[in-house]
Amino acid sequence: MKMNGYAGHQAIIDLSKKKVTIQETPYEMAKLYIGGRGFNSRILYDYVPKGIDPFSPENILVISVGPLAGTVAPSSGRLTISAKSPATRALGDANTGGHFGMEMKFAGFDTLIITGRSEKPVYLEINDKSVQIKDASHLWGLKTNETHDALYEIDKDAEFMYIGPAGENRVYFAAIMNDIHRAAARTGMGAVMGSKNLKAISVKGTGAVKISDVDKFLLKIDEILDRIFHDRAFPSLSNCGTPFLNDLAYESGGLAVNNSQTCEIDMTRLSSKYVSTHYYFGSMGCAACPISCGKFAYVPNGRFMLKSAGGPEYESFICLGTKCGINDPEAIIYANNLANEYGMDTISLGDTIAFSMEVYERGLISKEKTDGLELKFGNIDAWLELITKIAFRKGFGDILANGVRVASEILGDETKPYALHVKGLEPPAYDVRAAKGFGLGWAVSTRGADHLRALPNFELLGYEPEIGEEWFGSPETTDPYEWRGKAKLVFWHENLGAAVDSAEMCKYTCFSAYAVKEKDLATLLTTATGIQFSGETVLQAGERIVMIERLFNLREGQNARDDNLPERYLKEPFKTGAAAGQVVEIDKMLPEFYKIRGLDFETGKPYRERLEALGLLKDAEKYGLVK
Amino acid sequence: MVEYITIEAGLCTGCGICELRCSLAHENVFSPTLSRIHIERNWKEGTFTPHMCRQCDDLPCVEACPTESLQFIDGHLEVDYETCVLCGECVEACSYNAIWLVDTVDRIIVCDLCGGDPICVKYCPTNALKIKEK
Repeated sequence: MKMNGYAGHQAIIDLSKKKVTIQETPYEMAKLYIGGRGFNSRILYDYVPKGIDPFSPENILVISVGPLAGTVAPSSGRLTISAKSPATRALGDANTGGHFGMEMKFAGFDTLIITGRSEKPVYLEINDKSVQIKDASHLWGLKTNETHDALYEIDKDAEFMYIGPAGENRVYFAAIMNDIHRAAARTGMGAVMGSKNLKAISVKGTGAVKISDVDKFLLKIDEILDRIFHDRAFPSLSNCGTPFLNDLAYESGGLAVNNSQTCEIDMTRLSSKYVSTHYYFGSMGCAACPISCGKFAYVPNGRFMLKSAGGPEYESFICLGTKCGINDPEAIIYANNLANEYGMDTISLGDTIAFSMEVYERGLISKEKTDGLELKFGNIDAWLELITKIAFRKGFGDILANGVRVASEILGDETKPYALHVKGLEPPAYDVRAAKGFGLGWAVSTRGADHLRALPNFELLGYEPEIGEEWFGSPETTDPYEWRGKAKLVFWHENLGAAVDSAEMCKYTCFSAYAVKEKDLATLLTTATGIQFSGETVLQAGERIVMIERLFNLREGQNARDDNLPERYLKEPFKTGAAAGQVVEIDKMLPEFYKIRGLDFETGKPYRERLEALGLLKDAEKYGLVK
Repeated sequence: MVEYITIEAGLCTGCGICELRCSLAHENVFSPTLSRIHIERNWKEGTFTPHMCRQCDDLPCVEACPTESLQFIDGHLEVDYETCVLCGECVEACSYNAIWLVDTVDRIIVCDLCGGDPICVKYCPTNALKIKEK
């Protein structure tokens, strides 16, 4: 069947054999998994053998865009990169915006499946359905911005993604960067790319995207745009970018400081107003995005002078900044830029440094261990030096480059309570003691601690309890400090979130003011592709995608106990701030969540009926994963 | 009344909504290659520069056309595809880099102001594109 919207082709690139095969994007995949993250997760389940080393040639790096990429669906040009993760040793994926995704669609591909390992450094040059494997020995060792410059010299009209030294050195939280400032950051996809000796991908396409019902599609777009522009958060997000959350986190007691030990630090110079008026000089729009939350920043003078850099996101200001006890915006802009140039996830990088600072301050590691660095919270010199040491795996940096889980195993059992992670992945910025739904979201996320899997913004938007009653059958869902009703809240958000990730739209666009819900997405997908979707089948596709990811993780040996939070969030409340005294009542939420998701609470295995309903019974039976 | 498009590059975020809307309106597909507006994106410097016809006064493109296939009618350019020989003289002559010879379709592509209500202006989220009267 002819599908509109999709490019219609996948490229399988075997770097060991230097062979490229092009095949059609299967119709069944489109119908059941939508695209993007859904495609990737299904492909990983089918083709990544159980128990492999994430850095072995057998691991697969999959890159997919969605059926709406290249259209005017708001912020629809994102993409997901997936592989078995070195950080979680289970399913890993990272999502990025910018313009690479749209260009990949115009070049004729929905999916790139990269297997094997090249003997020597290579990069891929993709040009209108042709894929060439090219020598990259001249690029190896370059920082991401330098790699961009080198590729830009060759073709100014192409889009690029690349790894930096951190990816080459297999740092467990190495990112894949694109458009210089955009990161597919989480779960170490850059390290997997590095392990394949793949330095970069260049893509250029002159193709077109045709959709099935232009008039109905555009009507729906107008409706969605109207909601986005009238969203209360739109002016802040558009003018200040995600750092508008710096203010919200501070006010609502969810600010994480000093490895999440406290929520107190002077935020005067980290307020969104201060940052945006002193350091921004422009906005960068992802493909077809009416919001443009990405910012260009500069530091006019002084030690951290920079002419042009990507403005740190809220996540970077907090994880790389306040969690390390640092509240100097200029230092954070500088360090964020450094992390981008080396190609590292600023969340995991910041968290890992924050962990090392806490164990140092507690006297659990000595100066000898840290190569003489005085790792106290707020020590900017030590912090900067450590970022470089980690990227190049030098000295103490070689230990921290493995993320907090492995680092704490190396540094000793007594350091483990301070290694904050879920399933091996370090947590994002907003402290979940001040947002219990997000807490549950981190715990059950299939890629480890992450806010974006569920993104239950609903509890933070100040809705009246009646809206909670109306949407989720419980008025408590609008109260961030409340645990009741959050299982259902997270279940719905995870499912819609997976569908949105698979359509490769932006969750900020969709989940801020809920401008795109399941019925809207169904209309966009149906009118674009010609495949019939309904609100129900969109949510079911989301549920199927989450389930195939859970099956992948179960096959890798995870069980129900992996869905949990570090003790700090369960037993150590903040002593001050709006969320003082709060901890996450995870034990109360998990059993209900498991019931709703159709999972056995002891083993984590899904029940037969649920698997049947999702069409995954045979897939689960094959590996004995049925309860 | 003659109208023309002004571009405030400092407001452009490079999102490309104009390119996509333009190609859909003129070609019924989404394809920046077929758009009458092109954004030059420089991520390093943080600048985005839209290129498109400004309906300028001296019209060097019209003058350069050897077959009189390019005409300025009712305030905008029109191409007679029957007589156009794809020589590219107009492309060379344009001082705004706003005319393209697209080899995938073998056609000259240039802004026609959508006949008076340009779709790019309507959907530009930052008002980087505006329509003004001369």
